[in-house]
Amino acid sequence: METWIRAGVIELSTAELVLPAVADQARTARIVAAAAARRAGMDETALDAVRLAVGEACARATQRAAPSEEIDITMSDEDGWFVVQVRERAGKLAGDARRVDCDLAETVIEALSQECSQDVSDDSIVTRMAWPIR
Amino acid sequence: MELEIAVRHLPKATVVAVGGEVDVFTAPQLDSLLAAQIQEGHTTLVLDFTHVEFLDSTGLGVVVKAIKRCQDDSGSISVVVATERIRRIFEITGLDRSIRLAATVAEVVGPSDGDLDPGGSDRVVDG
Repeated sequence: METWIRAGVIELSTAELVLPAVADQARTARIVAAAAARRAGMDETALDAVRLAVGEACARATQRAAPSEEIDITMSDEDGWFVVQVRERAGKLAGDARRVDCDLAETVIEALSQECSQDVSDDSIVTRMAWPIR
Repeated sequence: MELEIAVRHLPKATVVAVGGEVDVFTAPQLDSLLAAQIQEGHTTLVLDFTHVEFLDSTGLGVVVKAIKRCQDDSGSISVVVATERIRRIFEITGLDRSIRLAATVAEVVGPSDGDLDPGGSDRVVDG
């Protein structure tokens, strides 16, 4: 399978990473998120939380999505907060095919994020996580 | 990335030493190995996560599934956790209240002929 990754900087304080929704890319996401958090000025002690929470969100996305779909991750510094949004560009699969027991993942994300929310629409699911930089 | 897994059958338990990152990509490897061990009748297991560098909920799910399989055969699973980073995910999810966590393999099985290194002679690498 061809593997592709797109990354870019939208503004000086925002980075975007687009990954195929395959399991081996969850590691890429958490490594990049931790690096971005470090660059934003977060303490080393807080990076584990970022790494794990973003990894969980991406892992959950890979379980819900087809490999041909994408996971869109934006990382930004917003008024002293490091914010990560994980967007699954969900396709139109049957409902049962997309239902995955993600209770543990949600528990971990909520526990490790200072703020978190999930926005579900017909064609996408966006998980937002945020941490104070200082 | 692959997991390094080493299996050692001791008198009191089978020790499964895992090295590397247990996540959504590598967890199925561990799941398959544990299922095979349980199928062979090794239902008293010690999961040695001393050399695990990362563990997410997918990995926890594998542990929980293995526990249920073992309990069906009156067995049990203990998990050796050496770092706060790995212990934390058990605590966050509340699984530290239902899974026996230990600091060393010896704490579970008693003094033996040394801790198992995933890179040692009983090394089994899946992937």
